[in-house]
Amino acid sequence: MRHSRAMRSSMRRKSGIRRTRSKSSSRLRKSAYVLPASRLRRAYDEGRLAAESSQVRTELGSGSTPADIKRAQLLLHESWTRSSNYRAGMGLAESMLREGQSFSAGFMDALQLPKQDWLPLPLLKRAAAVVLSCGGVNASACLQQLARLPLHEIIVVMDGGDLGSFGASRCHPGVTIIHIGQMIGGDLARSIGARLCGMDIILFADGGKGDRAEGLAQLLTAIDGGADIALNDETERLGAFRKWDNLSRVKAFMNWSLGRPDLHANSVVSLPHAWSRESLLAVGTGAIAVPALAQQAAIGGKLRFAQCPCGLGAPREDGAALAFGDHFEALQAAMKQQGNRLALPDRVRRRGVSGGGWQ
Amino acid sequence: MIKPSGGRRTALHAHSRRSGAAGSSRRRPVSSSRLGAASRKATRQAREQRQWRQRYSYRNYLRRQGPKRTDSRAPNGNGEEQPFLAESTARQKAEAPYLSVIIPVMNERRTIGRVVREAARIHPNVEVIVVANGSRDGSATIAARSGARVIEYAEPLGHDVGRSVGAAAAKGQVLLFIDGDMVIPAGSLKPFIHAIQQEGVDVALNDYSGPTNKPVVHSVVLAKHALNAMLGRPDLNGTSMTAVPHAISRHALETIGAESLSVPPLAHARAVQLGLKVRAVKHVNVGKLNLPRTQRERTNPLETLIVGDHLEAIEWLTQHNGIRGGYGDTKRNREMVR
Repeated sequence: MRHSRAMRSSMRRKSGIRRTRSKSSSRLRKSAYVLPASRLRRAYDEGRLAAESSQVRTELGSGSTPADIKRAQLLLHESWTRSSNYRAGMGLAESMLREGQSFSAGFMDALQLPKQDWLPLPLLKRAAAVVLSCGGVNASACLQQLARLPLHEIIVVMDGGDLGSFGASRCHPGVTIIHIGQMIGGDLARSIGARLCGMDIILFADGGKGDRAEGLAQLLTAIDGGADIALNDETERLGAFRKWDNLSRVKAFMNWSLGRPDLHANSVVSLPHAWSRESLLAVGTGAIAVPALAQQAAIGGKLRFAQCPCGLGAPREDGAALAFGDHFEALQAAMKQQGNRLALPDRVRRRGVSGGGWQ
Repeated sequence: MIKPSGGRRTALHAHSRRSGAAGSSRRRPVSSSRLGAASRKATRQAREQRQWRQRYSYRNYLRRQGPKRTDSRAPNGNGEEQPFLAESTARQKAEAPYLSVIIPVMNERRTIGRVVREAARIHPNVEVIVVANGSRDGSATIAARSGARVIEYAEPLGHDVGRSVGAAAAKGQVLLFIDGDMVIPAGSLKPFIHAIQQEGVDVALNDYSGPTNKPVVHSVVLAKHALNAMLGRPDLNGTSMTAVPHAISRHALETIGAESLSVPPLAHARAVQLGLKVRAVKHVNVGKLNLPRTQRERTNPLETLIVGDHLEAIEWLTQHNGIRGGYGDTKRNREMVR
């Protein structure tokens, strides 16, 4: 990252050219935002400075065990949160992530530690992840991505996994594994993981998917900014309605009937998503064992939803039959509170005429 | 309309073919309210032409000659040429009808006459039941004059309640439900009857799922798709007993009950759940034929009513099949997290 004077000036020229072009042509203006090199350099220098501060020196030992590396990562994130002028609720811009990576490079260079592909993320609350590994899937890819995030805790709940998948999770340092010998059903694992987790932000991730950390970071930032539940915005990925899967249709219908048409097919039924600790306790850690019921309770409890453009892959539809039953239960629960037509009463029909006495 | 094969090749047949071709333009539905001034003028001219033709066509001349002459045209009653309406209603009194066409009507003077006439052309042994409720524009009179049996209520019964009333009064083995505000040609309605008659279908639905080639669809379209998915019949897509035209067999009517037809999604859920043979038979684009009703939508949106109906259907499913709607919960041991 250190450049000669001539190289710096050439970089400045290049970036200058790009900016003038993007002003003149509308086609170019739509292209990806190019971060000025000066800002990246400033972040790098700030990273070096932060690493040289006395606080970091005293807290960080000289060893290079996984535990020390983890401590370094958390210290890095703490310093980055302080020096990035981050305020809760300002969202997560692409430039913030890039500058964070420069900051990280400076920080590690100053400490003479090996470079990492971490994703420094300004967060004021403490975050944890619950990884659901159902039916013996290998959670390695997912755990690799999660290791890049500033998580204080990673809990893998294995649902009927064999020794192979257990070993794969065991390879990752700093991961708590809950291994239950029997099959308990994937959604129960959510409940168990949430109960053991004591952080302010709880991210639920699918062990079999390996979602990119950049996408998951959006969920963490949304909760940090004051949302109760952060969902992955699937609507764009689903495309035209006629190509939607059945479960998405049912999810969208339930959201509409409960008075949240703006949520479309986004729901806590699908992974990944994140909860704040307070909202999770309000709904109840036991209740999230039936995800559709949790969605209904969250909407009924007027929790604040954030829909994040995470750009993550397609949800899996393997437990669709189970999920349909959950939606029946959830709608039934809502009907118990609000009546059988929820907030959509029938004021026009004279049902006595047709001989129907069912309502 | 007229099949060229299998008919009696007579001079009379040639007559009927000519007049049939003349009559075909009359049956084309025209929704003038959506068109501009120029098209309205064209529509008016077409109507005048049609009336002229009706008044002076050879077929109508023959009709005016009385029943004897018409009888000789179709002595068996099963020829391709449908018998004249007045005569067919006279014959219906003698024997029980095979097909009952049920048309709920409320202030649909513009179209009801044509709708009744089209309905009468579907089958030789047909009764057309018009349930006029809250009509103040003379729809009932027009329907009666067109040959329908009219059940009249002074007050509006509410959306789709007319279907229950009509179904309870129907005598046919097959019941076809259409609306009084859109003229669907008899040729498009015949496949629904045919599916029940020949293929053993109990509920023959319109294969119309609404506009779905966009990311955010209308809530009613969403509700229909979701209900079919929850019923375990995603192959039905967005077809439903909510949409006309659809036909049901008498067996289906007895199974689901006439009263449930007032809440069509409920009837639909019952039909699928109680093991009836439900199938989407033919595509009739009713979205295009349906008139926009801005005033009604402003004061009393149909959207919330129909989505609420779907919730009622789901409630019935949970009562009938248990709280999970018949889906199992075998894998989960919930006691572990209590």
